[in-house]
Amino acid sequence: MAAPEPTRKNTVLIVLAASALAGLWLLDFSSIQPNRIVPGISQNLFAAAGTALSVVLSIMLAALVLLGLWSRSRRLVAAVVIATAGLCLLPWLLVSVSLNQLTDDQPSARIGLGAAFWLLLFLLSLMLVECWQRVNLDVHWRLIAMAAVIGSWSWAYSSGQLEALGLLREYHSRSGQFHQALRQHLLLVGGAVGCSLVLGFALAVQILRRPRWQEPVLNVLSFFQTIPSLALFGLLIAPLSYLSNQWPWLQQFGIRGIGWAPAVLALIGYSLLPIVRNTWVALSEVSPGVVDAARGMGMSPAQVFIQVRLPLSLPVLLEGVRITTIQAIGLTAVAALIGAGGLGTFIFQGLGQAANELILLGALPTIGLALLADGFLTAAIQWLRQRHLSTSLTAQATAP
Amino acid sequence: MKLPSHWSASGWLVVLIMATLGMQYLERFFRWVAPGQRQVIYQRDDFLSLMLNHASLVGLASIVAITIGVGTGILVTRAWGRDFLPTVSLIASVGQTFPPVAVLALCVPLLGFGAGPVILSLILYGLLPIVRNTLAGIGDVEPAVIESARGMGMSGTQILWQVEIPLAFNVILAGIRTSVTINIATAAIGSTIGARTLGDPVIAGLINNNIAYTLQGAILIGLLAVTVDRLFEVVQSVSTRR
Amino acid sequence: MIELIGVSKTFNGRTAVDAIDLTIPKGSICVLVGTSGCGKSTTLRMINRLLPHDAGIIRIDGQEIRSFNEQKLRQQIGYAIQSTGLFPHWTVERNIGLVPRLLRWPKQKIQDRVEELMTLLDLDPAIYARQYPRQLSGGQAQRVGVARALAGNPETLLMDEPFGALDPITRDNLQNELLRIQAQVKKTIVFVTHDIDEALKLASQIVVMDQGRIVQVDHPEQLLRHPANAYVENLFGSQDRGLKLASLFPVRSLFETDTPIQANGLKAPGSGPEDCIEATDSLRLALSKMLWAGASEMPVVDANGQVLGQLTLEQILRANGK
Repeated sequence: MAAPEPTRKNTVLIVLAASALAGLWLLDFSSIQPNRIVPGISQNLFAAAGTALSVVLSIMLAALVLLGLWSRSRRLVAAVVIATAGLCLLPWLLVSVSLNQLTDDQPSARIGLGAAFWLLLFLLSLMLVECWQRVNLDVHWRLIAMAAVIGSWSWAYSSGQLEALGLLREYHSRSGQFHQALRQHLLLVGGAVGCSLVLGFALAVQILRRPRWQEPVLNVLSFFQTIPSLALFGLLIAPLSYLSNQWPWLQQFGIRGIGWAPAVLALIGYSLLPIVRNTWVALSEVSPGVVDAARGMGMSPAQVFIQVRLPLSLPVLLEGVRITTIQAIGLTAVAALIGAGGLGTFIFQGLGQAANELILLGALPTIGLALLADGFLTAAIQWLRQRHLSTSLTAQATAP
Repeated sequence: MKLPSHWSASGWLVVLIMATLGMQYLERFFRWVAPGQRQVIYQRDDFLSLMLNHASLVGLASIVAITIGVGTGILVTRAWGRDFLPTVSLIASVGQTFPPVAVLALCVPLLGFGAGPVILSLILYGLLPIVRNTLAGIGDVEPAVIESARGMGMSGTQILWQVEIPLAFNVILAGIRTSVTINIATAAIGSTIGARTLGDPVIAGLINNNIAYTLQGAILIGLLAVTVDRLFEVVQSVSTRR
Repeated sequence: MIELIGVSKTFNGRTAVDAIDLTIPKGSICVLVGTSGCGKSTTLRMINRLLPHDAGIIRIDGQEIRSFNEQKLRQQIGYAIQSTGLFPHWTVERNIGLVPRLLRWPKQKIQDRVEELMTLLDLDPAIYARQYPRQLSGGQAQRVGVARALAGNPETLLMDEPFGALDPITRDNLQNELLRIQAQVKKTIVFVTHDIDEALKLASQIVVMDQGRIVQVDHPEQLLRHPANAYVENLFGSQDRGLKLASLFPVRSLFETDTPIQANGLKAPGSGPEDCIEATDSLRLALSKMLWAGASEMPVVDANGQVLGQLTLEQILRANGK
């Protein structure tokens, strides 16, 4: 019989779980505002959600600390289960806060999320990822864990008990505006990334043909990247409003000093560098042997480009699109300052009115969009790499 | 022909100083830009103090971020801290997906308005590229080099300071450059949460519909960012030449 | 047949190939050898117009190559290179079928051709057809490279150090394969290498190049026996050319010219592979076996283990010293 696997300390798990435990006891979990204007009263989890749930959560975190102290791969599976359960429990803590703290005679009372909530969310997710990396958890189990968490959150949401969350109250009082802002945001990002993809690709192909242009073009583009977004938006307002005053018909197309025009221009300016640089690097790094063979077999220049160089450079090219998209999602939020609309509108309105939940209504979906875009494009890039593989890998693989 | 980097850096620095001190001499230009405005030079604060405030916010945040960031990068690449490497590198790469403006905004519900939350969010966000590049820089040092250093009897500390840090220096520096560039931009937006920065004239101009104010702020922010970037270029070219 | 007449090529004022004349007969393997930078690869790449020649005439079967469409020309010439140049994003099957597809063959014909070639090159289609190049070993990848070069059924094959990156055993195997295939398909092959043993083994004609010029064109045996100058002598190893020469002839050849010693038709007593010489072994191998056994004569057997006769050290000396 095989000797039992020796236990070893998992310091990361211990530190993360212990911090979560400390945060849970020391920081505020939520706050209650009787209405939108009155400042809220903050409470820790024990006061807000009641003793029972707090004790359950504390025991779970303590168990994670213990699992970290005497860790074995089998036990880390238990840690994955506990962390997933913790993430599933989080929305129900809020439900419990809502049931415990709010009475029917306070229809406009709202619950704010405190530091302890965010800390728990952050640390539990980290612990989950840390443990499933160590036990090499199969992708199916990861998906099941994620589905469980999402399912639990949706269930809590559909129970109607989360309506008292300040964030949701803000959302419901302006859901029309929110959806429009989301659409605008996506449109600006999509338009800018689309334009710079076309422009950037053409530019990259040009500098590939004329190497002398390469340095000046990349220098100009990286100069653009250095200029802070607020400054570039500001610098574009004056010339654009001059143009639209000179030729008023431009205004009919919405081209004015403020609005989408300077936003899109600036976004394209920022987006070009990653796209041009990655396209150029990708195209020029295709192994010379492969191109030589393709030509030697009698493929025409167009066939070599479309059938060989382009597919082989696609992963690196998409990496450029990924960087650009994430960057554009963030910059579009800033563009709300110059009246371009989008989710940034809520952030700056919220900042102006000192309405925290409104800030969240703008900031959280912006982060969500960036994470979604990142996840989606990263997955696509990995898929392509696995299928098509980068040339360098293949060159190594075919050498003895 | 290409100018040496320190020429271009000092050129930008001169322009930056002249623009900061002499903005009011351009009044005629700004009158032309914003006809019909009673006042065309931003008066609420003088540009020099905004510039210094902006620069010191970024400078302070960057010093803290460099210390913590490089320190973390070193700690998690030591034998006893290596357990934390995957987690730290995950945070550094996922964290960079968060838009800086969202991080800035999220600091308000937790910490309120003013310079404090701005500095905190500059530090938090500024950490990420520094940590990432420190990890990359130290990780890229060839194992054979470390192996031979150890074989010749160097201690762990000696290897760190005489081998790993010098070899990783350029990559770390590039991370610091990215971090500072982002922070100059984020600090400008910080004026919407109550920090006194060069973003003030831009925002004031947007609110009061005065293009001249916006332009003045934008020019100074742009000049500051470009000058700092060129200065980094000088440092990088000196350190690569060695 | 390939003819080069007064062909030159310069790169930025530096002459890479200097007015060379060369005729490569149909169905032969012509190997270009020389030190690196001697112009052998440049010469090869001018034949399929990957490099345009600056002066002179290159004809394939009597037609100047400039008279063809560039791509059409290349589709009719097989091309295999050291790095294989396999497309990493295509399966083995698709890689081999590249030229037939460019030639617009019907689908079924392409598929049959791919299977035929994979079988010819000893790659089981059931296993390898759907694999990607990265899943292959170096030797397998190079087999696919050769199969791809043969796919369009070209009359001419250009090979630029195709086995250069392989380990000695795999290289030896592939050289044998190439000779086997060549015996079946009889292409005109132009082969570049810097491995002299490879050149001696494969070539029906060796072209020695130095600084863009052709120094000597000859049959391997002649090159070893009568090198044109010190460069050739040096290149072919002045010290061990006796052994190299011995490796050119199979033991079998002695039994055709010399009086065969009477065959007794019996199995050699206690014969293992080391105790007797096979008829297909080279004289060099035979010599080595005798040296190892410390014997001055050894029995020679055919593939069935039938003893053909006795080979003596003296016979080898006589044959090699001719």
